[in-house]
Amino acid sequence: MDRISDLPDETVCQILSFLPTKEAALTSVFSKRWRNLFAMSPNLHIRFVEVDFWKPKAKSNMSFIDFVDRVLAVSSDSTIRRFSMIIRRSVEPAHINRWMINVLSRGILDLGLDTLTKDVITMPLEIFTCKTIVKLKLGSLVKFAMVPENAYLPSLKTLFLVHVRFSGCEFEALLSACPVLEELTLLGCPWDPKQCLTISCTTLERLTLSCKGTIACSLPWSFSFDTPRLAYLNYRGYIGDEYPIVNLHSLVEAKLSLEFRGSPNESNPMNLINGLRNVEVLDLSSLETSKLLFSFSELIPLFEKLSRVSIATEVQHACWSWKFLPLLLKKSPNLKTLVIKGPLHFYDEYGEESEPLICECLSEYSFLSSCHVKILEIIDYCGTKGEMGQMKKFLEKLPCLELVNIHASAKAKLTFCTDLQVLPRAGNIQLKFFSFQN
Amino acid sequence: MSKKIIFESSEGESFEVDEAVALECQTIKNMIEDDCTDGGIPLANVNSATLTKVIDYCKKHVEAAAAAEANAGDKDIYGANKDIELKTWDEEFVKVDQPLLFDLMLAANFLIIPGLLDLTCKTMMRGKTVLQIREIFHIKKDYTDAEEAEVRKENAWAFE
Repeated sequence: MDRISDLPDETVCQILSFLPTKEAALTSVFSKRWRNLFAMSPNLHIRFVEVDFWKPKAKSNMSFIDFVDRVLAVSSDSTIRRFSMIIRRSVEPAHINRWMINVLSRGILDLGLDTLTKDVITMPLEIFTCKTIVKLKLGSLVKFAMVPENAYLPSLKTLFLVHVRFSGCEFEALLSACPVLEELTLLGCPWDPKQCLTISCTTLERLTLSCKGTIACSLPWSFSFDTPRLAYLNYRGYIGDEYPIVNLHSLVEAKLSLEFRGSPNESNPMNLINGLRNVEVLDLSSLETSKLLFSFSELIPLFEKLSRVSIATEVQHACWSWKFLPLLLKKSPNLKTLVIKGPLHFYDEYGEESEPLICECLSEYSFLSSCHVKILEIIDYCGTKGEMGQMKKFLEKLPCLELVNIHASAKAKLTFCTDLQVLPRAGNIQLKFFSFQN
Repeated sequence: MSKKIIFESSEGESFEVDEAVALECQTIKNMIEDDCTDGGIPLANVNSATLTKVIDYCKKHVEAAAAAEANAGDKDIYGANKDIELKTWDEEFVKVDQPLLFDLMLAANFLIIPGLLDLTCKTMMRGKTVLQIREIFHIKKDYTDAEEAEVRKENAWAFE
């Protein structure tokens, strides 16, 4: 019984569209009906990745080029909804350009190109005038030579650029051609460091920006965020020297992992820090971020809406998070949830042996009594004496505390669980333990 | 109380589910929007065993989505774990014999449940050689040897 024969061609194509195109192509030998079905799939995923790279002489790439040409020719007039291409071998840019121009004219919704070949791929101009594209993801050795004057991407909602080369003004021209852009991700984009980068987009809701390790230190560098509807900001890397325009009125969630590029005296992140004042969720994902914010203590605004803070900590002694936390809590009058993304105290190599010595890292803990945190969460509780002492203070001083979630390795959990349970605490505070394997 | 939808399998057995669960199926969603679900929905090409599984799948995914919603703020901590949990559940879910897997795929296709279609197709295809796929689908070869050689040449890159 040939049950799949009962299915219409479109459904078989749909089934095949879940396979990488190379695998789907193996079905061409099934029967005459199947000969070209794989190529008619609305989704094409083409990976050309060198697996035998240790072989001194790689096979010719002609069979690959012929294959892609044929697939695109066979499906000549059908719609391609998604096209993703990953290339890790040498393929001449002219071929890739030809394929891009082809798929851009086929009603494409979602296009991804990730190449790491010998040559830089210059995107064809057609990419700037595609009316259908909703999601565009470009990576690695790709560059925009120029953005044409008639650039217009009326449907583009998601733009994802990884190590794409462009200059600041090309990027600004591209953004202004996207009237409905909602999500932008820029990872390690080596734009011209002499220029300022201005992200100006009235529709943008989510922004991920990572710019680390690509910029020479001596050049001035500035960023502007003119994004009045931005709700989510994930910002990693070196901070700019200045932030001339910061419009983040709608920002709800900020995830920061920032550090100084050179000397702290050269940076003026005042506008950026002030621009964060409306956030409800703040995640300080690295110790460096706490250090940076601590060094601009006088600039920290009142976070009236802030209800959830996550702060990274580590076992090392020089842990800035503890220095910054008192200030942050003072500035967050409506905080409900505090997440310690690490241990609750640094590892004190002397204190461990002697009497539990509670350091001054949280300056007598007096600030805790004016803090309204209800939920405290510790992500990597190790059970050291320092942590035990710290926990005792938190349980004692936080007046509104209701729940403490403690995550620890399964092994560590055994040793401190009972010790924690017997710590004095108000009757309504619940301790919950979670273990992870390490 | 939430609204109930009644499915009827090919054997005529009735299955009552919450509307939220039924909404996982795009086909049913359209019917509910068009207001033509009173008196039950007959699914003439889905048998009881398959329908039970399909409902399990939809229920689990509705619950998982609700749990994810509730913990939306905790995404960085729980999000990843929940995803893994659901993925593991999905993997267990499709550990069924080949005919049932095929029925599930057809049902997912008919009811338009993209996640389930994706899952069953992937499972169906995973780790299979062309010969095995041909066998599972009982596809009769109608090529001559010369024709087959021609097809292999056409897509030489795929057969390398």
